[in-house]
Amino acid sequence: MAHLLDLFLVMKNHEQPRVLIVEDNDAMRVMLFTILRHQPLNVDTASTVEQALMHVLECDYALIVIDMDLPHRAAERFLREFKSRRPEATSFVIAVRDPNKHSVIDPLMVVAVLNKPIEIDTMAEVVRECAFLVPPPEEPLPCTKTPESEQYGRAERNSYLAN
Amino acid sequence: MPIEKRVLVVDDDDAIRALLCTILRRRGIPVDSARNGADALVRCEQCRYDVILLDLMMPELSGYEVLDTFAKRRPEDRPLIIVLTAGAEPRNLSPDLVAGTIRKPFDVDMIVDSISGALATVASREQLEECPPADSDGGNCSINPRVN
Repeated sequence: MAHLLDLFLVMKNHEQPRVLIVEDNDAMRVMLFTILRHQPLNVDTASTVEQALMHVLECDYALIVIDMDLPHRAAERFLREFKSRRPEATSFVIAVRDPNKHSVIDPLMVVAVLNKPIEIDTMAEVVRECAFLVPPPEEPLPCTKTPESEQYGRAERNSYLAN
Repeated sequence: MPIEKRVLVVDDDDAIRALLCTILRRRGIPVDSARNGADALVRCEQCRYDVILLDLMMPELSGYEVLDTFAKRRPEDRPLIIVLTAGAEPRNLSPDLVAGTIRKPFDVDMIVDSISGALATVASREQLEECPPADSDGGNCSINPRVN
């Protein structure tokens, strides 16, 4: 039974687009994660660009949602690094920014901009729509890690079963 | 005093207040409600809130005025605020004060996810001594919140 469940999860994860949230504010990151993990998506998070780079070098993401207001223009640095180290990647990037700050957004890399404070329902809709538009890569990375959203869901299922 | 994470729902619409209070209470989240901005500020003097769901257009004191009051507080003393909007999306909200906005009529799951996610990142704190038990305690989510 457990084997069948694992097989089902592998198949499900394979079909669902993978999304990465890059946000240094804990409350915002967990809030976005909690909302998106209930969509038919595999969701990972990163609180720093270093973590985000590790993620994108291991796995293909259909969509990356990144806070452009990370300190020291780290988001711009991440996008440059991502482009240089994964030039073949087909990910869509959605930038979240404070409209009163002057973050530099490269239109060649960023497909859409959401202004803060984010309209939560619009963001969920945009992410869901965009993530399914991205074609899977021709030569996908051999990503073996379980998405955080699935780990979370498994923990929830286990606690449910334990009760 | 209890150690908890408490939510404040601020809306002049009785049905919305009662609905949100009931939904959150069923998930074990202590909730208070306020019918306008003035009531909300009184509540905030009495109790610590971790998340506030705030309507903008209200009689007596609007959500904008509540936000102006919170702007004077230190960032670490402000709760996470999610604004409930109706009609045109307000464009002049400060991201330093408002974490996000949700349009009415709202998706219940979206509200619950937003609040659960936000509460997951804050530590439980001891309530203030003068803070009464939450409106949701004892299963009471009356549309007439306690008058202070």
